[in-house]
Amino acid sequence: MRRGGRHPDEHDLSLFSGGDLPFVRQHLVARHVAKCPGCAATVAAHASARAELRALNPVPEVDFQALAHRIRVEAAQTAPATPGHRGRLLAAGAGAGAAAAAVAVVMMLPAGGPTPTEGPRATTESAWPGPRLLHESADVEVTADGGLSVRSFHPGSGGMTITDYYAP
Amino acid sequence: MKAHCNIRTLLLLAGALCLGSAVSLAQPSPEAGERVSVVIPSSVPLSVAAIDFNDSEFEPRGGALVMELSGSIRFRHEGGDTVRALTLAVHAHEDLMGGRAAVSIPSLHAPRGQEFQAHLNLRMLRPLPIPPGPLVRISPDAVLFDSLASAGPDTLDSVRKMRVREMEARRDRDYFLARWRTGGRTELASAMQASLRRQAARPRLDIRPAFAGRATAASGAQREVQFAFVQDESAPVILEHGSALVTGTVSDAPRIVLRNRSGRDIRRIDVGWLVHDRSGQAYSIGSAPMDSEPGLQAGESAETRAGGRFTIRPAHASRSLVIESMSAYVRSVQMGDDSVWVPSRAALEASGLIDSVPVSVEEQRLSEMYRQRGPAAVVEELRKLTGDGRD
Repeated sequence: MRRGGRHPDEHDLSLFSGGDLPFVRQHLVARHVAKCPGCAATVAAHASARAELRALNPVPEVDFQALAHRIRVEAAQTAPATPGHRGRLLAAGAGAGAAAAAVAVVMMLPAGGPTPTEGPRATTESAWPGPRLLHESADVEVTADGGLSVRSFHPGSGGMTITDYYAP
Repeated sequence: MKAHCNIRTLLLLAGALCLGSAVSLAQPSPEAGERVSVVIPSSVPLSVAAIDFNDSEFEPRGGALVMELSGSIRFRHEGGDTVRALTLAVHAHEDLMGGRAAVSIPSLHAPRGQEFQAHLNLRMLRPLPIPPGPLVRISPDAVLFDSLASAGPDTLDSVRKMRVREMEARRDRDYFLARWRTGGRTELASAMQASLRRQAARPRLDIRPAFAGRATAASGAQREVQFAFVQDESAPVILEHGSALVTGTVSDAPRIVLRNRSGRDIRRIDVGWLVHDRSGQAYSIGSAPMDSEPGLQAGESAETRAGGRFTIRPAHASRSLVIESMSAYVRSVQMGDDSVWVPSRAALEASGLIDSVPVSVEEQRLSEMYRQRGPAAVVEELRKLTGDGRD
């Protein structure tokens, strides 16, 4: 409400025109507007503006999954990045990977202590947070040995490494 | 009386927690230099020129030590034939997931007397307490030469894996070299960009072993999912039928019946494993786990048997996965004479597998090189590795 006066402020009148005020305030403003031609005119102007906005083309619904996919594809199609740019991308990727790994670690920590039936191996095994990923799009594969395999590209040397983690 | 007992229990618990923390803090943080040892077997023609693991981190967690190994080893080639690939066995503990690993470095070009570097970035695990001496032992398991001959103890089936990667690498180098010869840098750039597009568009999964005893996502009814097969007419093996038991997003290792149709003995088969969601989208899981000795004589059939359960989720948490069906294809075959069969590029393209399965390690390396350094660097690399001297 406007300080030092009885008229609702512009903000409240705007919200009132759309029925967006809390219940009690909506009621109080409605009582005022019914008696005040000036505020009623303001509310009518806001209502008219809302109607005009609705008549405009609706905002298209964005398929964020498809958008993310397109960004990845188009990023891959771009010309070779400069080493500096690539370095930053990798650093960002490594940061995101580290953050994801940290979250994974927290999520995979056992909620309580081991139950009497769990041996030391089960307790120790569950402490392994999974393979180390240098970037979030790294491929993790099941191997024919029943373990996991991760590929990493080393930008400095231009070499790849494949790390196989063996199942016990 | 009851309140007194509760207070005493609380005090005991607090004491136990303090003691636990003290034990955990008492574990000294090991120095990376002292904790990683490199041992060269006598059959391997390499020597160590330098070791650097100073960026490694060691963190006690519960009853285990999580080791983030980050560093490099510089080797010197003391043998004759050019080194093409190396596999290092990394050993921290025998009986734990994360206790044993292998790091392979493919696409090397190290003639006699030359040095080359192996980068290691992996996460290992071993139980506490920390013993005296090295925590992690690194040792070359096998070296692959340009002639496809090998050296080393090969305790981890490293030679076969390196040969498969080298055969895939030669196939893909030939493909990109042919594109370059056809249309120069423009044509090579077009092929590289197509590869990068495929890599970016391929949906990825998050796969973890489903450890026994942990509350996994194995909720819901168990069902048997039958396999469809993508056959390759040139493959020495035909996949006949197979299935896997699936509970929610957890799948047991599949059982697949395969037949040797080559007329020659087969030593080892690697079967690619794909899952499909309800929309038909295919996700590559990797290889179907198999017995250690799944060899097949000429004309013989056999069913793969392997343990293991895997939690399979989309890599991006915003997506969900319902395992609707599964399919498989022959990824590589090691024949009785140790020669290796891999699918041709034309067969991968004709079957559509090229859009679903990961590109070869060499294609990924070359396309990353293209992205960072441009087509000229890729041409130079292709000519170095194929011995191509033509302009």
